[in-house]
Amino acid sequence: MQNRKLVGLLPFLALALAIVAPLVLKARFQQHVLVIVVLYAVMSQAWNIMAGYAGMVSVGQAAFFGLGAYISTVLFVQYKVNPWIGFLAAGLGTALFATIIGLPFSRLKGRYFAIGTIALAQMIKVVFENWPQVGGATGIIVPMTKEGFWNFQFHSSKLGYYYIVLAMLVLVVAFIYFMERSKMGFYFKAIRENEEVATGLGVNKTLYKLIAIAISAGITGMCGTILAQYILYAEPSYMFDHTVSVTIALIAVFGGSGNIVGPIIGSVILMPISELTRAWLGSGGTGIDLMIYGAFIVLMCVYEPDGLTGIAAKVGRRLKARREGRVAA
Amino acid sequence: MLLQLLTGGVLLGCIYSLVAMGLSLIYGVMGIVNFAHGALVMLAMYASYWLNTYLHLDPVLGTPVVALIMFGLGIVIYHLIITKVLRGPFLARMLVTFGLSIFIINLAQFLWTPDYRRIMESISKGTFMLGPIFIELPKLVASIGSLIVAALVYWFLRRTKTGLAIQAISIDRAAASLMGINLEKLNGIAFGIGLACAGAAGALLASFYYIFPDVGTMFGLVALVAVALGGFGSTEGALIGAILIGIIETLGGFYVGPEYKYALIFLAYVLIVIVRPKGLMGWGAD
Repeated sequence: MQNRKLVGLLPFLALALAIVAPLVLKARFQQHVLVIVVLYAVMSQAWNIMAGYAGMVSVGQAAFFGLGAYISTVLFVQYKVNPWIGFLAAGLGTALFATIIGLPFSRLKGRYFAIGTIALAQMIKVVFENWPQVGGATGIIVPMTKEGFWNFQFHSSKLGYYYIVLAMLVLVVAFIYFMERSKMGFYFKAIRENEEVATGLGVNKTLYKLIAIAISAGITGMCGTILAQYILYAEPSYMFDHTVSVTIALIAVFGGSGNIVGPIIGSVILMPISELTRAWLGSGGTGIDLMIYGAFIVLMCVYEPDGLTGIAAKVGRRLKARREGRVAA
Repeated sequence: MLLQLLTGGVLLGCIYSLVAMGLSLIYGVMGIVNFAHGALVMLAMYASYWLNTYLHLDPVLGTPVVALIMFGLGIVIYHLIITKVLRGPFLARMLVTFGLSIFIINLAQFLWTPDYRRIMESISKGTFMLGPIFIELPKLVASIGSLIVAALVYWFLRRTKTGLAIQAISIDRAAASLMGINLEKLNGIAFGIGLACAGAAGALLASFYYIFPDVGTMFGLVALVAVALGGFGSTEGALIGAILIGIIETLGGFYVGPEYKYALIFLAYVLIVIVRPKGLMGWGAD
């Protein structure tokens, strides 16, 4: 009983820790890592809705990420629309786009779907690279404005960005928490486990697949806006980068996909490693940082394919078995 | 003009088909989508380059040597990595070769810098006219070479005992195992042959293509699309898919614009797979 109460408190403890973290880690680089960690945790959660819960493995999340970044940036630079409205527009626009694309895509399964998402991200990248109205391959620079919450720009410190992403993470986690317990969550899992049986039981699989894709894409698109406002720049080769897609999936797999905690743990461990190796070793362009990253992915898949939450579950089971063994003895 | 473009497309498609064949074989036998295939083609191109630089071995004539090296590397990679993820979850099986690809590309960048290199001396050089069609000799030699290697692999799979055993695994793993086929050993051989295909393609490409660490990425992705387009598990499908893609690439590059040629390939994939969710000739589970 005592234990259960403690476990219930854990998320709030983690949140308190997250709120205090940037007040302790004050250096610019440390705060940058914090922003990236939380941003990727959000995107990985979004990926999880689509892949971990509904079983549609996407390796092309960069398509939604970049699209969101471009929607708000174009609105801001060319039509003077406030970035916060752009932020919402990015979410809605990306979700709408994903719904339209998702209609044919929802027919694809497994690796055909995964390769389709890679193809989608590559196609969009090419379109944006050759679209002069949105800056072509050079992209668009977001002009600096006076800093402040309403302008969605913070220059003196990164705290503003950090708390915005953190708030988003809290909202997304709360959403998934209720989704897991709702009919929709069960429908997603039913589709993941066996589409034919789910359809047989009366689940409208196309509808629920589209809902999962739209939610996942919308959240990812909004993250795109945040990153564009953060680096004040939107360019195709960065925004639609294939490594973004892989990293998002990787975090969820590393942490453990199909549950709420996995993507957060995955991002907390993986992103600092990735950012630190890039900062220490990546400056010369020798590729060592990415070499380590690649080797890390391989080792992880070989030795811990179930992710960290998988290990935790294994350890938990073993402890329980030992305790029961002792009782029996 | 159309005839000229079609010829170019088929020649290109032949080289793609060799890369795709290796992918298809590996997938068919052990259910692994090898995202590192492009990176391995790149590695083979470098192998060909260094053999040429230090031993003055011609890239075209050196094809069997490079293929053999890649075969050995394939067996090593299989026993070090692939065999350990075969029973793992879908995502681990998919991401492991992603990681391998990132590792190999950046290893090449670390060892050999991102500079563009090119093999200057090759026995296949120049161009000639065949009727109204203008043909570049290196590309013709590379596609003929690809077809020869593809035919050899095909013969090996259909006519030798080992080849038949590999085919048996891809049809029914459990039954093959019960018939006394050593899965572990043959999986390794199949992976090695898949990489030897990539190696041969890389060596042939090296005779006329620029060599740099990222060169294989597009080849790998295009070959992957070719395999998916043809349908996972079907060797013939991979060949047809690859030639189709070669044609789309040259025609699209000319009529729509060279910057859109890869986008068109991906568009073709999406359109075809939407109509036929298992590709043109695919079968079996997803």
